Amino acid sequence: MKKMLKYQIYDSRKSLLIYAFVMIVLFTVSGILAASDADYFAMSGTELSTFIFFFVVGICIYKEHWLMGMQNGIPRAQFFKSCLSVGIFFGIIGSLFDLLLTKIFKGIFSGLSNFDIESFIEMLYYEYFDGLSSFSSAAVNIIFSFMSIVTLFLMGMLIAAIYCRIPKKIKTAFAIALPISIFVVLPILATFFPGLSTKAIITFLRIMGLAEGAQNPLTGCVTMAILCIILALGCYGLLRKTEVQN
Amino acid sequence: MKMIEVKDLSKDFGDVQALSHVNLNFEENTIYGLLGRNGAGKSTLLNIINNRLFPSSGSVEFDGAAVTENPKSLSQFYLANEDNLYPEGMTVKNAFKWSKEFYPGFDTNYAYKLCGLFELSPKKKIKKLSTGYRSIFRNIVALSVNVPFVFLDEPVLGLDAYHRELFYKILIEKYAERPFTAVISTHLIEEVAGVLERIIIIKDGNIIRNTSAEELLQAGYCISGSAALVDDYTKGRALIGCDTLGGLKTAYVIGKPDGAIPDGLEVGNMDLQKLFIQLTSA
Repeated sequence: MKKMLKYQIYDSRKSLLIYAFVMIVLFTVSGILAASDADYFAMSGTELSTFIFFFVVGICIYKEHWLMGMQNGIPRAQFFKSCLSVGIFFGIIGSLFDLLLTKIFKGIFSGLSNFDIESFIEMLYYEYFDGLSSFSSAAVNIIFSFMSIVTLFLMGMLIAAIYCRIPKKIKTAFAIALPISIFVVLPILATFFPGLSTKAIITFLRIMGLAEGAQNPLTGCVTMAILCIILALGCYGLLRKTEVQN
Repeated sequence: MKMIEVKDLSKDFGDVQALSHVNLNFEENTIYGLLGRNGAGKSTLLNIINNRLFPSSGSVEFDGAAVTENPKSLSQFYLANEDNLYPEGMTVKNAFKWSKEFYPGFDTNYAYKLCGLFELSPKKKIKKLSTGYRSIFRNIVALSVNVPFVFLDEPVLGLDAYHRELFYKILIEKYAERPFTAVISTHLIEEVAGVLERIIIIKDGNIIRNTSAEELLQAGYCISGSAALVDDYTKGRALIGCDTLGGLKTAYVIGKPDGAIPDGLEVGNMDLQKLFIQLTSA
Protein backbone atom coordinates (compact mmCIF):
# COMPACT_ATOMS: atom_id res chain seq x y z
CA MET A 1 0.00 0.00 0.00
CA LYS A 2 2.90 2.37 0.82
CA LYS A 3 4.28 2.11 -2.72
CA MET A 4 0.92 3.04 -4.23
CA LEU A 5 0.43 5.87 -1.75
CA LYS A 6 3.88 7.22 -2.53
CA TYR A 7 3.10 7.11 -6.24
CA GLN A 8 -0.30 8.76 -5.84
CA ILE A 9 1.05 11.62 -3.75
CA TYR A 10 4.07 12.08 -6.00
CA ASP A 11 1.92 12.09 -9.13
CA SER A 12 -0.49 14.67 -7.68
CA ARG A 13 2.19 17.06 -6.48
CA LYS A 14 2.33 19.07 -9.71
CA SER A 15 -1.42 19.81 -9.79
CA LEU A 16 -1.38 20.67 -6.06
CA LEU A 17 1.51 23.07 -6.53
CA ILE A 18 -0.12 24.72 -9.55
CA TYR A 19 -3.37 25.16 -7.61
CA ALA A 20 -1.52 26.66 -4.63
CA PHE A 21 0.44 28.95 -6.94
CA VAL A 22 -2.73 30.17 -8.71
CA MET A 23 -4.45 30.89 -5.39
CA ILE A 24 -1.43 32.78 -4.02
CA VAL A 25 -1.20 34.82 -7.23
CA LEU A 26 -4.95 35.59 -7.09
CA PHE A 27 -4.73 36.79 -3.49
CA THR A 28 -1.60 38.83 -4.19
CA VAL A 29 -3.00 40.46 -7.33
CA SER A 30 -6.31 41.25 -5.60
CA GLY A 31 -4.45 42.78 -2.66
CA ILE A 32 -2.23 44.87 -4.91
CA LEU A 33 -5.23 46.05 -6.94
CA ALA A 34 -7.07 46.94 -3.75
CA ALA A 35 -4.06 48.89 -2.54
CA SER A 36 -3.76 50.85 -5.77
CA ASP A 37 -7.47 51.40 -6.35
CA ALA A 38 -10.35 52.69 -4.31
CA ASP A 39 -12.67 49.92 -5.57
CA TYR A 40 -13.84 47.23 -3.18
CA PHE A 41 -12.17 43.81 -3.52
CA ALA A 42 -13.25 40.60 -1.78
CA MET A 43 -11.46 37.25 -1.77
CA SER A 44 -13.98 35.51 0.43
CA GLY A 45 -15.08 31.91 0.31
CA THR A 46 -12.06 30.69 -1.64
CA GLU A 47 -12.21 27.37 0.25
CA LEU A 48 -15.07 26.46 -2.05
CA SER A 49 -12.65 26.40 -4.98
CA THR A 50 -10.35 24.13 -2.96
CA PHE A 51 -13.26 21.74 -2.35
CA ILE A 52 -14.13 21.72 -6.06
CA PHE A 53 -10.46 21.28 -6.95
CA PHE A 54 -10.18 18.12 -4.86
CA PHE A 55 -13.48 16.83 -6.29
CA VAL A 56 -11.95 17.15 -9.77
CA VAL A 57 -8.69 15.58 -8.56
CA GLY A 58 -10.73 12.60 -7.30
CA ILE A 59 -12.31 12.14 -10.71
CA CYS A 60 -9.07 12.62 -12.62
CA ILE A 61 -6.59 10.46 -10.75
CA TYR A 62 -8.77 7.45 -10.02
CA LYS A 63 -8.58 5.53 -13.30
CA GLU A 64 -5.00 6.44 -14.17
CA HIS A 65 -3.69 5.47 -10.74
CA TRP A 66 -5.75 2.30 -10.62
CA LEU A 67 -4.37 1.15 -13.98
CA MET A 68 -0.84 2.00 -12.85
CA GLY A 69 -1.48 -0.14 -9.76
CA MET A 70 -2.83 -2.98 -11.89
CA GLN A 71 0.26 -2.87 -14.10
CA ASN A 72 2.45 -3.16 -11.03
CA GLY A 73 0.68 -5.96 -9.19
CA ILE A 74 -1.26 -3.83 -6.70
CA PRO A 75 -4.52 -5.54 -5.65
CA ARG A 76 -7.71 -3.51 -5.69
CA ALA A 77 -8.04 -3.56 -1.89
CA GLN A 78 -4.57 -2.04 -1.48
CA PHE A 79 -5.34 0.59 -4.10
CA PHE A 80 -8.53 1.48 -2.27
CA LYS A 81 -6.70 1.86 1.07
CA SER A 82 -4.13 4.02 -0.68
CA CYS A 83 -6.91 6.22 -2.13
CA LEU A 84 -8.44 6.70 1.31
CA SER A 85 -5.03 7.69 2.68
CA VAL A 86 -4.55 10.10 -0.22
CA GLY A 87 -7.97 11.62 0.55
CA ILE A 88 -6.96 12.13 4.17
CA PHE A 89 -3.62 13.61 3.08
CA PHE A 90 -5.39 16.00 0.70
CA GLY A 91 -7.83 16.90 3.46
CA ILE A 92 -5.01 17.82 5.82
CA ILE A 93 -2.92 19.84 3.39
CA GLY A 94 -5.97 21.44 1.73
CA SER A 95 -7.51 22.62 4.99
CA LEU A 96 -4.18 23.89 6.34
CA PHE A 97 -3.45 25.67 3.07
CA ASP A 98 -6.83 27.42 3.07
CA LEU A 99 -6.45 28.52 6.65
CA LEU A 100 -2.90 29.77 6.19
CA LEU A 101 -3.81 31.53 2.95
CA THR A 102 -6.65 33.50 4.51
CA LYS A 103 -4.75 34.25 7.72
CA ILE A 104 -1.53 35.33 6.00
CA PHE A 105 -3.19 37.54 3.40
CA LYS A 106 -5.56 38.95 6.00
CA GLY A 107 -2.48 39.93 7.97
CA ILE A 108 -0.59 41.35 4.98
CA PHE A 109 -3.50 43.47 3.76
CA SER A 110 -5.00 44.26 7.15
CA GLY A 111 -4.52 47.98 6.58
CA LEU A 112 -6.81 48.05 3.56
CA SER A 113 -10.43 48.90 4.24
CA ASN A 114 -11.50 48.03 0.68
CA PHE A 115 -10.06 44.50 0.70
CA ASP A 116 -12.03 41.77 2.42
CA ILE A 117 -10.99 38.20 3.08
CA GLU A 118 -13.58 36.04 4.73
CA SER A 119 -13.59 32.29 5.29
CA PHE A 120 -16.31 30.36 3.45
CA ILE A 121 -17.21 28.42 6.57
CA GLU A 122 -17.39 31.56 8.69
CA MET A 123 -19.68 33.15 6.12
CA LEU A 124 -21.88 30.05 6.04
CA TYR A 125 -22.09 29.55 9.82
CA TYR A 126 -21.92 33.26 10.77
CA GLU A 127 -24.04 32.78 13.91
CA TYR A 128 -21.76 30.03 15.22
CA PHE A 129 -18.54 31.96 14.69
CA ASP A 130 -19.87 35.12 16.27
CA GLY A 131 -17.85 35.63 19.43
CA LEU A 132 -15.79 32.44 19.00
CA SER A 133 -12.10 32.69 19.95
CA SER A 134 -9.65 32.82 17.06
CA PHE A 135 -8.13 29.45 18.11
CA SER A 136 -11.51 27.69 18.21
CA SER A 137 -12.49 29.37 15.00
CA ALA A 138 -9.30 28.12 13.25
CA ALA A 139 -9.84 24.61 14.62
CA VAL A 140 -13.45 24.45 13.39
CA ASN A 141 -12.36 25.88 10.03
CA ILE A 142 -9.75 23.14 9.66
CA ILE A 143 -12.11 20.33 10.69
CA PHE A 144 -14.89 21.50 8.38
CA SER A 145 -12.50 22.06 5.43
CA PHE A 146 -10.92 18.67 6.03
CA MET A 147 -14.28 16.90 6.02
CA SER A 148 -15.46 18.81 2.95
CA ILE A 149 -12.32 17.97 0.99
CA VAL A 150 -12.40 14.28 1.91
CA THR A 151 -16.12 14.04 1.09
CA LEU A 152 -15.78 15.73 -2.28
CA PHE A 153 -12.63 13.78 -3.13
CA LEU A 154 -14.49 10.53 -2.40
CA MET A 155 -17.48 11.77 -4.40
CA GLY A 156 -15.17 12.39 -7.36
CA MET A 157 -13.67 8.95 -6.92
CA LEU A 158 -17.11 7.35 -6.79
CA ILE A 159 -18.11 9.02 -10.07
CA ALA A 160 -14.86 7.80 -11.66
CA ALA A 161 -15.43 4.31 -10.21
CA ILE A 162 -18.93 4.17 -11.71
CA TYR A 163 -17.49 5.35 -15.01
CA CYS A 164 -14.86 2.58 -14.93
CA ARG A 165 -17.45 -0.10 -14.19
CA ILE A 166 -20.17 0.74 -16.68
CA PRO A 167 -20.03 -0.83 -20.16
CA LYS A 168 -18.31 1.17 -22.90
CA LYS A 169 -21.60 1.67 -24.76
CA ILE A 170 -23.22 3.70 -21.99
CA LYS A 171 -20.17 5.67 -20.85
CA THR A 172 -21.05 8.71 -22.96
CA ALA A 173 -24.68 8.51 -21.85
CA PHE A 174 -23.54 8.45 -18.21
CA ALA A 175 -21.19 11.42 -18.72
CA ILE A 176 -24.06 13.43 -20.20
CA ALA A 177 -26.80 12.19 -17.88
CA LEU A 178 -24.97 12.91 -14.62
CA PRO A 179 -24.66 16.72 -14.90
CA ILE A 180 -28.05 16.99 -16.64
CA SER A 181 -29.71 15.08 -13.80
CA ILE A 182 -28.10 17.26 -11.14
CA PHE A 183 -28.36 20.67 -12.76
CA VAL A 184 -31.45 20.37 -14.98
CA VAL A 185 -33.73 17.48 -14.02
CA LEU A 186 -33.47 17.96 -10.26
CA PRO A 187 -34.37 21.71 -10.31
CA ILE A 188 -37.27 20.98 -12.69
CA LEU A 189 -38.53 18.24 -10.40
CA ALA A 190 -38.25 20.66 -7.49
CA THR A 191 -40.66 23.06 -9.21
CA PHE A 192 -43.18 20.24 -9.75
CA PHE A 193 -42.96 19.06 -6.16
CA PRO A 194 -42.45 22.25 -4.14
CA GLY A 195 -43.51 20.67 -0.86
CA LEU A 196 -41.04 17.85 -1.24
CA SER A 197 -38.19 20.08 -2.32
CA THR A 198 -38.75 22.45 0.61
CA LYS A 199 -38.70 19.46 2.93
CA ALA A 200 -35.47 18.25 1.33
CA ILE A 201 -33.86 21.67 1.69
CA ILE A 202 -34.90 21.96 5.34
CA THR A 203 -33.54 18.47 6.04
CA PHE A 204 -30.29 19.33 4.26
CA LEU A 205 -29.90 22.54 6.29
CA ARG A 206 -30.62 20.63 9.49
CA ILE A 207 -28.17 17.77 8.89
CA MET A 208 -25.51 20.24 7.79
CA GLY A 209 -26.03 22.29 10.96
CA LEU A 210 -27.14 25.27 8.91
CA ALA A 211 -30.65 25.76 10.31
CA GLU A 212 -31.31 29.32 11.39
CA GLY A 213 -30.87 29.71 15.14
CA ALA A 214 -29.15 26.33 15.52
CA GLN A 215 -26.05 26.70 13.40
CA ASN A 216 -23.24 24.28 14.10
CA PRO A 217 -20.56 23.32 11.56
CA LEU A 218 -19.66 20.28 13.65
CA THR A 219 -23.12 18.82 12.91
CA GLY A 220 -22.22 19.24 9.25
CA CYS A 221 -18.91 17.47 9.91
CA VAL A 222 -20.70 14.48 11.45
CA THR A 223 -23.04 14.34 8.44
CA MET A 224 -20.07 14.48 6.08
CA ALA A 225 -18.30 11.76 8.06
CA ILE A 226 -21.34 9.50 7.58
CA LEU A 227 -21.46 10.46 3.90
CA CYS A 228 -17.74 9.63 3.59
CA ILE A 229 -18.38 6.13 4.92
CA ILE A 230 -21.24 5.64 2.45
CA LEU A 231 -19.15 6.99 -0.46
CA ALA A 232 -16.14 4.86 0.50
CA LEU A 233 -18.29 1.73 0.75
CA GLY A 234 -19.88 2.50 -2.61
CA CYS A 235 -16.50 3.11 -4.17
CA TYR A 236 -15.00 -0.10 -2.81
CA GLY A 237 -18.10 -2.06 -3.79
CA LEU A 238 -17.57 -0.93 -7.38
CA LEU A 239 -13.79 -1.24 -7.37
CA ARG A 240 -13.56 -4.77 -6.01
CA LYS A 241 -15.19 -6.20 -9.11
CA THR A 242 -13.82 -3.79 -11.71
CA GLU A 243 -11.94 -5.45 -14.54
CA VAL A 244 -9.36 -3.86 -16.81
CA GLN A 245 -11.27 -3.11 -20.00
CA ASN A 246 -9.52 -3.13 -23.36
CA MET B 1 8.89 -26.07 -6.58
CA LYS B 2 6.69 -22.98 -6.91
CA MET B 3 4.18 -23.05 -9.71
CA ILE B 4 1.04 -21.42 -10.99
CA GLU B 5 -1.90 -23.78 -11.13
CA VAL B 6 -4.85 -22.91 -13.32
CA LYS B 7 -7.79 -24.98 -12.13
CA ASP B 8 -10.94 -25.50 -14.16
CA LEU B 9 -10.88 -21.88 -15.28
CA SER B 10 -13.73 -20.47 -17.35
CA LYS B 11 -14.46 -16.93 -18.43
CA ASP B 12 -17.55 -15.61 -20.16
CA PHE B 13 -18.07 -12.20 -21.72
CA GLY B 14 -21.82 -12.11 -22.04
CA ASP B 15 -22.73 -14.86 -24.48
CA VAL B 16 -19.14 -15.45 -25.53
CA GLN B 17 -17.15 -18.08 -23.68
CA ALA B 18 -13.53 -16.92 -23.85
CA LEU B 19 -12.14 -19.75 -21.71
CA SER B 20 -13.70 -23.11 -21.02
CA HIS B 21 -12.58 -25.27 -18.08
CA VAL B 22 -8.89 -24.61 -18.57
CA ASN B 23 -6.50 -26.69 -16.48
CA LEU B 24 -2.75 -26.17 -16.69
CA ASN B 25 0.37 -25.44 -14.68
CA PHE B 26 3.21 -23.03 -15.19
CA GLU B 27 6.37 -24.31 -13.55
CA GLU B 28 9.44 -22.40 -12.45
CA ASN B 29 12.25 -21.52 -14.84
CA THR B 30 10.63 -22.60 -18.09
CA ILE B 31 9.88 -20.75 -21.31
CA TYR B 32 6.32 -21.39 -22.37
CA GLY B 33 4.70 -20.58 -25.65
CA LEU B 34 1.01 -19.84 -25.38
CA LEU B 35 -0.10 -20.21 -28.96
CA GLY B 36 -3.48 -19.57 -30.40
CA ARG B 37 -5.24 -17.73 -33.14
CA ASN B 38 -6.71 -14.26 -32.63
CA GLY B 39 -9.53 -14.44 -30.09
CA ALA B 40 -8.52 -17.91 -28.87
CA GLY B 41 -8.41 -16.74 -25.24
CA LYS B 42 -4.65 -16.21 -24.74
CA SER B 43 -4.88 -12.64 -23.44
CA THR B 44 -7.92 -13.46 -21.31
CA LEU B 45 -5.99 -16.26 -19.61
CA LEU B 46 -3.00 -14.00 -18.92
CA ASN B 47 -5.23 -11.20 -17.67
CA ILE B 48 -6.96 -13.54 -15.21
CA ILE B 49 -3.65 -14.90 -13.92
CA ASN B 50 -2.52 -11.30 -13.36
CA ASN B 51 -5.68 -10.23 -11.50
CA ARG B 52 -6.84 -7.86 -14.24
CA LEU B 53 -9.92 -9.94 -15.03
CA PHE B 54 -11.93 -12.18 -12.77
CA PRO B 55 -12.74 -15.76 -13.71
CA SER B 56 -16.38 -16.73 -14.18
CA SER B 57 -15.52 -20.01 -12.47
CA GLY B 58 -12.40 -21.90 -11.44
CA SER B 59 -9.27 -20.47 -9.89
CA VAL B 60 -5.62 -19.61 -10.29
CA GLU B 61 -3.28 -20.56 -7.48
CA PHE B 62 0.34 -19.77 -6.84
CA ASP B 63 2.27 -21.73 -4.26
CA GLY B 64 -1.04 -23.13 -2.99
CA ALA B 65 -2.73 -19.74 -2.49
CA ALA B 66 -5.34 -18.07 -4.67
CA VAL B 67 -3.80 -15.38 -6.86
CA THR B 68 -6.86 -13.12 -7.08
CA GLU B 69 -6.26 -9.96 -5.00
CA ASN B 70 -3.24 -11.60 -3.38
CA PRO B 71 -0.40 -9.04 -3.10
CA LYS B 72 2.20 -11.67 -2.23
CA SER B 73 1.49 -13.69 -5.37
CA LEU B 74 1.04 -10.69 -7.63
CA SER B 75 4.42 -9.28 -6.63
CA GLN B 76 5.96 -12.39 -8.22
CA PHE B 77 4.32 -11.79 -11.61
CA TYR B 78 4.68 -9.20 -14.33
CA LEU B 79 2.42 -8.96 -17.37
CA ALA B 80 3.52 -6.95 -20.39
CA ASN B 81 0.67 -6.74 -22.83
CA GLU B 82 -0.78 -4.64 -25.58
CA ASP B 83 -2.87 -2.48 -23.22
CA ASN B 84 -0.76 0.37 -21.97
CA LEU B 85 -1.65 0.76 -18.30
CA TYR B 86 1.10 3.28 -17.63
CA PRO B 87 -0.04 6.91 -17.57
CA GLU B 88 0.16 8.26 -21.11
CA GLY B 89 2.13 11.30 -20.04
CA MET B 90 4.77 9.27 -18.21
CA THR B 91 8.27 9.13 -19.67
CA VAL B 92 10.16 5.88 -20.16
CA LYS B 93 12.65 7.05 -17.52
CA ASN B 94 9.89 7.65 -14.97
CA ALA B 95 8.31 4.30 -15.77
CA PHE B 96 11.66 2.68 -14.89
CA LYS B 97 11.83 4.72 -11.69
CA TRP B 98 8.38 3.59 -10.58
CA SER B 99 8.96 0.01 -11.68
CA LYS B 100 11.89 0.00 -9.26
CA GLU B 101 9.55 1.25 -6.51
CA PHE B 102 6.92 -1.41 -7.18
CA TYR B 103 9.36 -4.22 -7.99
CA PRO B 104 12.47 -3.80 -5.83
CA GLY B 105 14.31 -6.33 -8.00
CA PHE B 106 13.99 -4.09 -11.05
CA ASP B 107 17.44 -3.64 -12.59
CA THR B 108 17.53 -0.01 -13.71
CA ASN B 109 21.03 -0.24 -15.21
CA TYR B 110 20.01 -3.26 -17.27
CA ALA B 111 16.88 -1.42 -18.45
CA TYR B 112 18.99 1.53 -19.62
CA LYS B 113 21.41 -0.88 -21.30
CA LEU B 114 18.50 -2.42 -23.21
CA CYS B 115 17.28 1.07 -24.13
CA GLY B 116 20.66 1.63 -25.75
CA LEU B 117 20.52 -1.67 -27.64
CA PHE B 118 16.99 -1.02 -28.90
CA GLU B 119 17.69 2.69 -29.50
CA LEU B 120 14.84 3.76 -27.24
CA SER B 121 15.23 7.22 -25.73
CA PRO B 122 14.39 7.10 -21.98
CA LYS B 123 13.33 10.74 -22.15
CA LYS B 124 10.44 9.98 -24.50
CA LYS B 125 6.87 9.96 -23.28
CA ILE B 126 5.14 6.59 -23.57
CA LYS B 127 2.27 8.13 -25.56
CA LYS B 128 4.73 9.44 -28.14
CA LEU B 129 6.15 5.97 -28.84
CA SER B 130 5.24 4.12 -32.01
CA THR B 131 3.55 0.71 -31.76
CA GLY B 132 6.89 -1.03 -32.16
CA TYR B 133 8.64 1.09 -29.57
CA ARG B 134 5.76 0.63 -27.14
CA SER B 135 6.37 -3.12 -27.47
CA ILE B 136 10.09 -2.53 -26.93
CA PHE B 137 9.38 -0.43 -23.85
CA ARG B 138 7.10 -3.12 -22.37
CA ASN B 139 9.63 -5.84 -23.14
CA ILE B 140 12.45 -3.88 -21.53
CA VAL B 141 10.45 -3.45 -18.32
CA ALA B 142 9.44 -7.13 -18.40
CA LEU B 143 13.04 -8.27 -18.83
CA SER B 144 14.29 -5.95 -16.09
CA VAL B 145 11.74 -6.58 -13.30
CA ASN B 146 13.43 -9.79 -12.17
CA VAL B 147 10.34 -11.55 -10.91
CA PRO B 148 9.95 -15.33 -11.17
CA PHE B 149 7.03 -15.22 -13.63
CA VAL B 150 6.96 -12.89 -16.63
CA PHE B 151 4.05 -12.93 -19.06
CA LEU B 152 4.66 -11.47 -22.50
CA ASP B 153 1.50 -10.99 -24.51
CA GLU B 154 2.36 -10.42 -28.18
CA PRO B 155 5.86 -9.12 -27.34
CA VAL B 156 6.93 -8.57 -30.95
CA LEU B 157 3.86 -6.61 -32.02
CA GLY B 158 5.00 -3.94 -34.47
CA LEU B 159 8.69 -4.85 -34.18
CA ASP B 160 10.86 -5.00 -37.28
CA ALA B 161 12.88 -8.13 -38.09
CA TYR B 162 16.07 -6.75 -36.51
CA HIS B 163 14.35 -5.88 -33.22
CA ARG B 164 12.45 -9.18 -33.14
CA GLU B 165 15.69 -11.12 -33.45
CA LEU B 166 17.38 -8.90 -30.88
CA PHE B 167 14.50 -9.40 -28.45
CA TYR B 168 14.64 -13.21 -28.68
CA LYS B 169 18.45 -13.12 -28.34
CA ILE B 170 18.23 -10.97 -25.21
CA LEU B 171 15.45 -13.13 -23.78
CA ILE B 172 17.60 -16.25 -24.13
CA GLU B 173 20.67 -14.51 -22.68
CA LYS B 174 18.65 -13.24 -19.74
CA TYR B 175 17.12 -16.65 -19.18
CA ALA B 176 20.54 -18.31 -19.27
CA GLU B 177 21.97 -15.77 -16.85
CA ARG B 178 19.06 -15.66 -14.42
CA PRO B 179 16.39 -18.30 -15.11
CA PHE B 180 12.75 -17.32 -14.76
CA THR B 181 9.46 -18.42 -16.23
CA ALA B 182 8.48 -16.60 -19.40
CA VAL B 183 5.07 -17.19 -20.89
CA ILE B 184 5.10 -15.87 -24.44
CA SER B 185 1.69 -15.48 -25.97
CA THR B 186 1.81 -15.04 -29.70
CA HIS B 187 0.37 -16.08 -33.01
CA LEU B 188 3.67 -15.43 -34.82
CA ILE B 189 5.08 -18.89 -34.36
CA GLU B 190 7.95 -19.35 -36.76
CA GLU B 191 10.39 -17.02 -34.98
CA VAL B 192 9.52 -17.98 -31.43
CA ALA B 193 9.61 -21.76 -32.04
CA GLY B 194 13.32 -22.07 -31.29
CA VAL B 195 12.98 -20.31 -27.93
CA LEU B 196 10.16 -22.36 -26.43
CA GLU B 197 10.55 -25.25 -24.03
CA ARG B 198 6.90 -26.02 -23.57
CA ILE B 199 4.01 -25.27 -25.87
CA ILE B 200 0.41 -24.69 -24.93
CA ILE B 201 -2.01 -24.42 -27.82
CA ILE B 202 -5.33 -22.80 -27.11
CA LYS B 203 -8.31 -22.94 -29.43
CA ASP B 204 -11.72 -21.38 -28.78
CA GLY B 205 -10.95 -21.15 -25.07
CA ASN B 206 -9.85 -24.77 -24.75
CA ILE B 207 -6.34 -26.11 -24.26
CA ILE B 208 -5.81 -28.54 -27.11
CA ARG B 209 -2.09 -29.24 -26.59
CA ASN B 210 0.11 -28.83 -23.54
CA THR B 211 3.41 -30.54 -24.10
CA SER B 212 7.15 -30.00 -24.49
CA ALA B 213 8.23 -28.37 -27.73
CA GLU B 214 10.37 -31.39 -28.52
CA GLU B 215 7.52 -33.83 -27.98
CA LEU B 216 5.16 -31.75 -30.06
CA LEU B 217 7.57 -31.53 -32.96
CA GLN B 218 8.26 -35.25 -32.73
CA ALA B 219 4.57 -35.91 -33.08
CA GLY B 220 4.98 -35.65 -36.80
CA TYR B 221 7.36 -35.18 -39.69
CA CYS B 222 7.36 -33.72 -43.14
CA ILE B 223 8.07 -35.58 -46.31
CA SER B 224 8.94 -33.90 -49.59
CA GLY B 225 9.61 -34.91 -53.14
CA SER B 226 7.73 -35.15 -56.41
CA ALA B 227 3.97 -34.79 -56.02
CA ALA B 228 3.22 -38.29 -57.29
CA LEU B 229 5.70 -39.95 -54.92
CA VAL B 230 4.49 -37.91 -51.94
CA ASP B 231 0.84 -38.71 -52.71
CA ASP B 232 1.70 -42.35 -52.98
CA TYR B 233 3.61 -42.32 -49.68
CA THR B 234 0.97 -40.44 -47.71
CA LYS B 235 -1.88 -42.74 -48.72
CA GLY B 236 -3.39 -44.18 -45.55
CA ARG B 237 -1.27 -41.95 -43.29
CA ALA B 238 -2.58 -39.18 -41.03
CA LEU B 239 -1.90 -36.10 -43.06
CA ILE B 240 -2.17 -32.64 -41.53
CA GLY B 241 -1.38 -30.52 -44.57
CA CYS B 242 0.50 -30.12 -47.83
CA ASP B 243 2.45 -27.45 -49.70
CA THR B 244 2.79 -27.76 -53.46
CA LEU B 245 5.21 -25.80 -55.60
CA GLY B 246 5.26 -26.78 -59.26
CA GLY B 247 5.79 -30.52 -59.36
CA LEU B 248 7.22 -30.64 -55.84
CA LYS B 249 5.16 -31.37 -52.81
CA THR B 250 5.74 -31.31 -49.06
CA ALA B 251 3.35 -33.22 -46.85
CA TYR B 252 3.07 -32.93 -43.06
CA VAL B 253 2.33 -36.27 -41.50
CA ILE B 254 1.37 -37.23 -37.96
CA GLY B 255 3.35 -40.08 -36.45
CA LYS B 256 6.87 -41.38 -37.03
CA PRO B 257 8.30 -42.47 -40.37
CA ASP B 258 7.80 -46.23 -40.57
CA GLY B 259 9.74 -48.57 -42.80
CA ALA B 260 12.08 -47.49 -45.53
CA ILE B 261 11.59 -44.14 -47.18
CA PRO B 262 11.19 -44.56 -50.94
CA ASP B 263 13.93 -43.15 -53.14
CA GLY B 264 13.22 -39.60 -54.24
CA LEU B 265 11.57 -38.63 -50.95
CA GLU B 266 13.17 -36.69 -48.12
CA VAL B 267 12.15 -36.69 -44.47
CA GLY B 268 12.36 -33.51 -42.42
CA ASN B 269 11.30 -32.20 -39.03
CA MET B 270 7.75 -31.11 -38.46
CA ASP B 271 7.21 -27.39 -38.88
CA LEU B 272 5.61 -25.92 -35.75
CA GLN B 273 3.71 -23.31 -37.68
CA LYS B 274 2.23 -25.92 -40.02
CA LEU B 275 1.27 -28.08 -37.07
CA PHE B 276 -0.23 -25.07 -35.33
CA ILE B 277 -2.27 -24.06 -38.39
CA GLN B 278 -3.55 -27.59 -38.77
CA LEU B 279 -4.41 -27.96 -35.09
CA THR B 280 -6.17 -24.64 -34.83
CA SER B 281 -7.96 -24.51 -38.17
CA ALA B 282 -11.70 -24.85 -37.98
